[in-house]
Amino acid sequence: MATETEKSNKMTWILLAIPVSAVLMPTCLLLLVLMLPTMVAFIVDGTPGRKFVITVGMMNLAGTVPAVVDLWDHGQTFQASFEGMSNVFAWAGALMASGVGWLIYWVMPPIVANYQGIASRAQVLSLRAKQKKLIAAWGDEVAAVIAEPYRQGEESAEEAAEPEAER
Amino acid sequence: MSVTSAARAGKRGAEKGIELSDRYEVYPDQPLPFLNSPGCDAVAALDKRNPSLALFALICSRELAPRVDAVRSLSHVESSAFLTPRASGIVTQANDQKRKFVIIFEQPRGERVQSEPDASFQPLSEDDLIRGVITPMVTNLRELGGRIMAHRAIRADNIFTSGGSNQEIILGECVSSPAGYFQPVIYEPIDAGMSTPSGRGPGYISDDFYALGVLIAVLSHGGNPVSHLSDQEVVASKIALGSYATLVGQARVSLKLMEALRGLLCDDPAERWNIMDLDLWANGRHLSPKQATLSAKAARAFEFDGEEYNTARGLSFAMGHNWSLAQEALRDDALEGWVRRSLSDEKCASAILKASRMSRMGGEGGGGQDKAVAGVLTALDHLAPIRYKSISARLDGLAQALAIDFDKDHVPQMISEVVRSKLHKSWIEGQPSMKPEFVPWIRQADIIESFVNRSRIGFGPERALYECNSSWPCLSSLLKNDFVNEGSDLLPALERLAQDGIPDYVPMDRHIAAFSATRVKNLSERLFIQLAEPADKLQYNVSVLRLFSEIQRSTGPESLPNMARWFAKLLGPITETYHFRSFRQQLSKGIEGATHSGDLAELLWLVDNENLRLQDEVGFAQAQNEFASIAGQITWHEDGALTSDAHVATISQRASAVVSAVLASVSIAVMSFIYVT
Repeated sequence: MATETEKSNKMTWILLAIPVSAVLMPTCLLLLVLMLPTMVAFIVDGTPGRKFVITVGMMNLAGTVPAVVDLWDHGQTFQASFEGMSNVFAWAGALMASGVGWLIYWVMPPIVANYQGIASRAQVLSLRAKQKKLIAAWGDEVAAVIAEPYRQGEESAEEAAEPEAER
Repeated sequence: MSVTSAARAGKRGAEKGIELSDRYEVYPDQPLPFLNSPGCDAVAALDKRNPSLALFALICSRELAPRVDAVRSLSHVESSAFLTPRASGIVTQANDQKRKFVIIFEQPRGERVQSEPDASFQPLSEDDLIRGVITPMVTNLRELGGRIMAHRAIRADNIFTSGGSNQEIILGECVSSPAGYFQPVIYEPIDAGMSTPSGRGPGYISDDFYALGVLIAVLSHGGNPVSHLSDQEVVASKIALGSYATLVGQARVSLKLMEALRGLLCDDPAERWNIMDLDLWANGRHLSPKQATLSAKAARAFEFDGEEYNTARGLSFAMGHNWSLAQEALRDDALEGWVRRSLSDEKCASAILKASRMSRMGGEGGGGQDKAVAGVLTALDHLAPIRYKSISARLDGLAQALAIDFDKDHVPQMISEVVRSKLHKSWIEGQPSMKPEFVPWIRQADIIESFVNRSRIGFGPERALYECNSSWPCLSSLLKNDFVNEGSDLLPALERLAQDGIPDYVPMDRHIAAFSATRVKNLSERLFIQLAEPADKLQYNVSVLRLFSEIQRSTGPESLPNMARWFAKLLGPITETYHFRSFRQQLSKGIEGATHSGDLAELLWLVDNENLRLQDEVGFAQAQNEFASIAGQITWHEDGALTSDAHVATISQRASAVVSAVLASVSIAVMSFIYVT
């Protein structure tokens, strides 16, 4: 069922795209040419969800905006579209923006690795503090369920999770 | 002023005595030895409302407990010929802080008729005996008969002269020690004389009439007429010759007195004179003298332990004194043959034959041999007391023997064996007829049997002791310095025990449990079951506290701070059994509060709070789970789950897409804004 729904959605988009592309044919031709880096990324991207395509494609799209605006300024003709395709600045804009997308995708892993390392250590410290509070409230026996020996911390028992006393 | 009267005056008033009942004062440091009773010291006493009255107090012992019920009953006797208890109660001795039961009497003006049990004195004439002794004794015995109780201490050294021109005697007290315990053998009927002193029991009014007969014989003789005989010889002589012949013998006695002596000294209680006979005789009506009914004599003697015996009763008495030889005598049929042929007593012979066979089947050292000997002794002499090994007790004396000899080796065990073996029932079956007076004692023996068969704490021979001896004090070693014979006195006594320092032991033993089960009303049996089956030491202490809190609720007092401190010390470790530290602190504070208020129920609520325990256990289980879960998370982090290449790649891809989308959106928005403007 899900597959049929997806197919149905795709068909809807294609049916919508046909009249739009017919109306905006010069713009579509210009975008098709200037989005070439994204197509390359689509070919080389093997990640689930195609995050590389998204990263490069978003920036590539932003880089084509000046050329598209210029096309629309000239009445969105095929002539203006072909001029845009041969405009160095339009290419430079599209390629540089795609390059920024590539750069983001390239530098993100070390940044994320560092961040995760710091976050993990902080999380461990926080969890150990919770364990110490449990020991302060319930005694060393609470740690008897695991092999690792724990010692009672300095935290007061009142700070720990407490069942409500009868009186 | 004679020495005695000087001593009587004492130095009361010079120093403060120990108060009793807000009215009397007792002076334990002013002894009056001439008024001592056996086992009890006499000291001076004072009635604050009537200081001129000469009083004395008898200080009773716990082990040979006074007849508290009899004190209450006799305190209302209005007779000038009787030493009436004026008051009784418990006092604390200043020198050793021991608490003793004391009974206050008015001092008799005269001297003891016989200063010592073996002393000789001027014999009384017949007139003096009739007017001075028998007449007032009739009054006394009528009073006692009206109260359905026996005096059991009628003897020459327990009667006093009245001290004035009136020559009537005053009968001494009978309440300071167990009934009949200190009575010399000559004053006791044959069956009571055969019993051990502890097994004589409260006895019957007929025992008092017999003692009166002996008293007349002693007074007319000027002392013990059979002082040359040992106790055993006295009994043997009474069996062989009869009491009258033994005690009066060939002495010259007037016909009138002989008539009374024969009637009172009759060895058959059913034939013995009673108050009506004595009244008739005192009023001048002559009754035919009773003739002694002696046991049938055998044609030939039976040899036992080097002696020859001609009567079954004599032989039974001798066998009872030599248990091991008696067992040997049952190994052949000689005894049975002697009874059958020489005494011609087929019934007795059959009983002996049955017992002998049972003994042989039981083998060496078996309990069956002892039971067989007991059966043979009863068959030979059905009037004798129940005898079993070293026990010799009348049916009514079993419970009293249990109480008096409880601390003696094997006595509780032997009495247990007697009732378990139904020897008391065999004894009743051996009687020629069932007497109404046996009924309460059969019931008492049944009570003993029912409790000795249940050995757990709160039951056993201790419970039988207190159930069958209604005023006997608690014999717990913890209360050895106290006298506790009421349920309401138990907790105050334990409270006093702890006032000079909290002991390390638990205030509970088999005596205290049995005593409280008997003397405190409406205690549930569940309390004693919990006491008998504790899971651990702490649980046992909680069970003890539960019992005492119930007793406090039932008898008071409202506040027992020392006992609460005692239990707080014993149960302090229970706070450590809680996991949650906050509960521990809460409990410690609560226990401290309960200690101050002295409310044992509050203390129990704290240490035995199931809801709190459940909360602690559930909370602890949750905390353990949480701890384990956290430990798992730590391990996950430490194993590099967040910093693994795959995880970093996934996150960084997502982050790249997001950053790129945001950046592109911002760029498009900025450019759009520029072109539009």
